[in-house]
Amino acid sequence: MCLERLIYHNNPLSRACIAAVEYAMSRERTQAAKLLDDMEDARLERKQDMKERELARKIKAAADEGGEELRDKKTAEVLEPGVKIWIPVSFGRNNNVLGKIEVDSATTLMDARININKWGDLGDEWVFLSVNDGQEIGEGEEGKRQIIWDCGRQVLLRPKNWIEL
Amino acid sequence: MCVVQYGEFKAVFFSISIDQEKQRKPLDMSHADITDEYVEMSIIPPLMRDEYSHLRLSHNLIGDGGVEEIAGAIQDDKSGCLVIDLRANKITTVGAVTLGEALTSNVSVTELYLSQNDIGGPGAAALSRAFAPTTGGFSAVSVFDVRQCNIDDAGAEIMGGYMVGNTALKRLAFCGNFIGDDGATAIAKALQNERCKMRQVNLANNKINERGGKMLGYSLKCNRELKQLVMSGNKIGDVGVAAFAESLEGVEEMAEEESENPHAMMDMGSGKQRKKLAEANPDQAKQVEVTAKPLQCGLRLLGLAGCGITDNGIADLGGSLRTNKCLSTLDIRCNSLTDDGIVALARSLEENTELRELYCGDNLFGAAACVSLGSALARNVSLLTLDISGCDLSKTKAAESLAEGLAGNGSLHELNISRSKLTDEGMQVRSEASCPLDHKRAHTCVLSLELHRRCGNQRVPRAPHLPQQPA
Repeated sequence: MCLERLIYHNNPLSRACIAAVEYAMSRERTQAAKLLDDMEDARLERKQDMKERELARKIKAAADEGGEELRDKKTAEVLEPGVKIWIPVSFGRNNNVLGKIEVDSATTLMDARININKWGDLGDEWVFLSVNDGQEIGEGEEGKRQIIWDCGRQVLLRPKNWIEL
Repeated sequence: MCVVQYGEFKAVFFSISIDQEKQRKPLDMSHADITDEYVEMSIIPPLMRDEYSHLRLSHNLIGDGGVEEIAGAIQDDKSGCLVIDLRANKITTVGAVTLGEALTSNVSVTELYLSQNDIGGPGAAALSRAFAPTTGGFSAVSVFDVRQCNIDDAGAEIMGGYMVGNTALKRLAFCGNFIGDDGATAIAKALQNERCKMRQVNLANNKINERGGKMLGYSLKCNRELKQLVMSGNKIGDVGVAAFAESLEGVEEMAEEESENPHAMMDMGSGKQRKKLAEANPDQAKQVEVTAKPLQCGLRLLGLAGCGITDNGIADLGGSLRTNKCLSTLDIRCNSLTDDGIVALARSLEENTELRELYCGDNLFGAAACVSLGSALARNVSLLTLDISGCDLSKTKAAESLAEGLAGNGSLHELNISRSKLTDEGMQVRSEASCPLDHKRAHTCVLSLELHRRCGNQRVPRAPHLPQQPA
């Protein structure tokens, strides 16, 4: 009897280390290298994208005199159209924050899912949890619902692999 | 007078039955945008001619009108349809009430799927009236699926009341509703009944709190039939978990005549309480020791993910796992367990020989818990799946302990360590001497080397992506 499956997604491991684990888990060379390259490229691309966005924000904040006014809008209860905010995304528990995504009042759950998927595979399938009734939101409805309205200012993801009967 | 031989009668009878069975076929029209009119025009006539054995019409646009037609067709066993699948349609309370009335005079339908319809509490109560032996319900439904049907607490309470004494129900799926403590208490009473034959109950993602959890937990004390129970997503807390732990620990059997009636066990209190009583009367205690043997609930799967459990609750559960001989799957993901709780659980794992799958990911534990889990893995011989995703493996010691545990373990099949902050440093060997396989590649990770050995390889293959040895 031996370990057949190791799930280690979303850990801060280097490509070399992941390759070592993949080699250890596979008796023969698989397509893991290509997969790892893609993952690493996606990570670098995302990092670059975040850097550019941060730079643009700083430039805008410096140039725009109404920076403080913008900040006030971001903390307002109801978001005005066009105003974007960063909201934390938690997995399983409220304090298990994986990261933040940028949303506005018109961002749908489907858009948010795309943004979260850019972080890489979380290891488990997940669904959005409604802040209104605490129930899961079906994947078929994600295109019709707004994230701020249905998930609130802190998005909670629920693992889909909880045991079901 | 015509005399018919039994052999001839038997041959003719079975040939007719087999012919009828051959003629009946399953109808599968899921995701087909079927409306009430289509049901009335195209499905009901063959259903009335008893041509269908299964009616699978999920994910359509069938409303109350279509359901009324189907109810009319199955009433009084006009149709011998076995399975009715109407998931994700447009059925409301009215349709559910009509279907419930039809089911009271039907003994053919064994599986009823109505999830993702807006039947509500009254609709579910009307449906379950068919299951009640006391109200003349003859229904033979063994699988009852009403997930995400907006069933409220009052509806669930009535539903639980009707289920008391039913012997046909085997599988219940109530997850994703709004069932509270009263509803859970009613369901617990149904589970306590001596005629209850339920094997699977799914109550996940409801509004059950401590009181309901406690009642459900204690109901298992006199239930030997239930094998799988999922309570995930309910805030039953430590109080509810303690009740489950007590049932899992088992009730000591006082005497042979009492063991025949498991309901008497409820009145006798828990094993702990009875131990205290025995301590008060030592003479009686000796007699009890002679005849006593543990009597445990037969639960094999218990889902307690996202139930607000803390270390106290898991300590109780861990204590019961030491002696439990039934539970094979335990799901305690997404709770508030810290190192102390997992350490207590890990200690019980060293003695437990039945648990096959343990899911404790996305909790708050870190290095200390991983060290305990590592040492438990080294001694455990039964665990096949371990999920510790989302824990804090950032410290090297935790990864090393886990690797050491894996080295001594021969049973684990699947290990989930995703989202656990595992870094290269945590994976790397601290000294070259501890890397027996390939000294030139001492920089490779300790965990990967251990995994490599476990996978049956004798040598580390030369990988182009492996990092070079530092100068």
